[in-house]
Amino acid sequence: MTSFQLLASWFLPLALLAPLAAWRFLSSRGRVRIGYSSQALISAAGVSMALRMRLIVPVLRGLAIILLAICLARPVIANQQTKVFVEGAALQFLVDRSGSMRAMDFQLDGKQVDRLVAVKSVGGAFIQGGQGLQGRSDDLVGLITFARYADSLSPLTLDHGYVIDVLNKIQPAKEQSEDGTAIGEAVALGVERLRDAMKNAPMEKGRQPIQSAAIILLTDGENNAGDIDPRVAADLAATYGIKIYSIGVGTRGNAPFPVGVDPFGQQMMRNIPVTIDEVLLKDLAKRTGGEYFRATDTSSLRAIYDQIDKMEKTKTEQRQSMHYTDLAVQSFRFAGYGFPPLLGGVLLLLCAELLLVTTRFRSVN
Amino acid sequence: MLTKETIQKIRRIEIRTARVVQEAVAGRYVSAFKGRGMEFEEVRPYADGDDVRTIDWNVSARAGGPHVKLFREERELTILLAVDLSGSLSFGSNAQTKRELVAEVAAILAFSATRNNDKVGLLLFSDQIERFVPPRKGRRHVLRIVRDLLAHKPVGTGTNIAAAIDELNRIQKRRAVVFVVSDFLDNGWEQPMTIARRRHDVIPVSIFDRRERELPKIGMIELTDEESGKRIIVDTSSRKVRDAFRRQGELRALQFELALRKMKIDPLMIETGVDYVEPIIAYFRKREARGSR
Repeated sequence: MTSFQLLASWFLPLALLAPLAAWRFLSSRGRVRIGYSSQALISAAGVSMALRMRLIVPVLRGLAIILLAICLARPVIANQQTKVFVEGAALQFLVDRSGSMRAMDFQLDGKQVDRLVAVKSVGGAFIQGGQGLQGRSDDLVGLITFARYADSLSPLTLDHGYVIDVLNKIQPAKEQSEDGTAIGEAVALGVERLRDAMKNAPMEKGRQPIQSAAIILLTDGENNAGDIDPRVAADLAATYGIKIYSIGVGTRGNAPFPVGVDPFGQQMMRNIPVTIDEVLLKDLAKRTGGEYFRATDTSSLRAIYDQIDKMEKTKTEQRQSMHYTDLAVQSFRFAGYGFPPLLGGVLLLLCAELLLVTTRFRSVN
Repeated sequence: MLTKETIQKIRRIEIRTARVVQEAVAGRYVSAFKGRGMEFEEVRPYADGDDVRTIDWNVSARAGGPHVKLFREERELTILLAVDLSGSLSFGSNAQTKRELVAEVAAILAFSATRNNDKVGLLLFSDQIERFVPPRKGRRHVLRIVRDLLAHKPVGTGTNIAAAIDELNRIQKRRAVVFVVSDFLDNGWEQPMTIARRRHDVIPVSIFDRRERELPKIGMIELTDEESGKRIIVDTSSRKVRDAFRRQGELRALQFELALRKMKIDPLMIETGVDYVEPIIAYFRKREARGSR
């Protein structure tokens, strides 16, 4: 919203000096009187064009004074700017990459896919938007995967493209030595990351320090690895005001699990019962004021994300500020034309007047 | 009444003009009137064409041949100075104003008149008759005239030459040599002058300044009319204006000369800041050469 304003309009009456200056130029007051025999001799010689044009001098002088008065009145184009301040949240994803995540109990685009692929797809949509989700463009997003050990794959960052890149590269644990589900360690690592981020939040323009932090825990099993008890980790999270949204991934009952390749090159599946420690997950959510969800298929996973999205609402704040363009000293655009600063105009007028007065319109008295 | 300055000026003028008068002008303006009169001029042998009545028998008898005795016609003339004191004369661009020049020229003529033992009268005028000093003889009288010339403060600022000449025609019945000293920046003086010409020997002395003939290129200048007080700005940077001004000046001078030629009068032109002795001498010499009437 732009508007024209005079911030010091009490200077405007100075413009009344303009007719005074023009009159001063035209009148003979203060001029040396030069007597002459007879004006008839002079008028008989006629009037030159320059003498007629001489009137431009008081006009220039008057305009310069008026413009100067306007400049003093401080003309501005006030530009009201509305800035949106975003209170960003920090979301720490904890993604289970234990071997059991290979269970093919999810569907994506009509195809049977394993849990990890579904998590990648829907999680990516949650972060960047798509599939009916808005995306969390103002939030810091971090990614931790865990199996037997918890690994921080991406720090809390606004570079969501990078996070998704990393997310898409997650592979389920293949070695027996690294397989497992260290929920406690993962939560503890997530808390540590969030705490660190809250302490040294990247101060960016229009960004407030992190106001809320949450852990989104995706798992399909029970805590069976790690030295840290998940409940202790959850209490730790609660201490720092971090909510845990825990999501149990897996259908109810049995889930088809690839166990190898048969002699004909066919993937062999075996139904394995889904064992999600829902009690633990609910407890974790409860301890931190979060919530537990159960994702039995892709669409329910999406619904869960949608819910979390709504719960972890990004707070925005509008602040209005005025931006002034001083027309006296700044060039500006008006009606589609660029104009130099008004003071430049004053200078131009005065120079033109001075030039004329000292050259062609030079007067003896 | 007279300031020291004026007295000094009068003395200076007297000395200066006296020198001029002695040098050349003395008597010249009357030398055109020769013949029978009161004053003895010369005795010389009779020549063909001489009037037999002028043969002086006594001298002829003594000399043993015919001799004529010549008299100068009434040597005692009346000189009338009609001097313009109008505002336009306060102008002068070259060392002196026209008024100063007028005073000097008039003073010269007055002093030159006293040397010839002539009567001198003075008529000061602007747009009205400012002062009239009746013709009289004597050095004291001339000094008084000079004082009036220098000290008189004109009441009017305009110019009315016609009224002055009319007044002169009215009061001066006897034949006189009338000098009309003015810048002739006026109209309608031709007819009264024609009338004056019938009785008197009229000599117009035209005082002018070169800036009335030509404008220098000095940019724009605001001038004030000394008579009307009106102001006018002239653009001297314009060649057009300067040329027009010069043409107007030439035209005016030509018209002036033509008007006088019709009356068979020769004007005496004197410019400010220029030595006026030469033109005056040249003028009277020219008159003399044309002989008696």
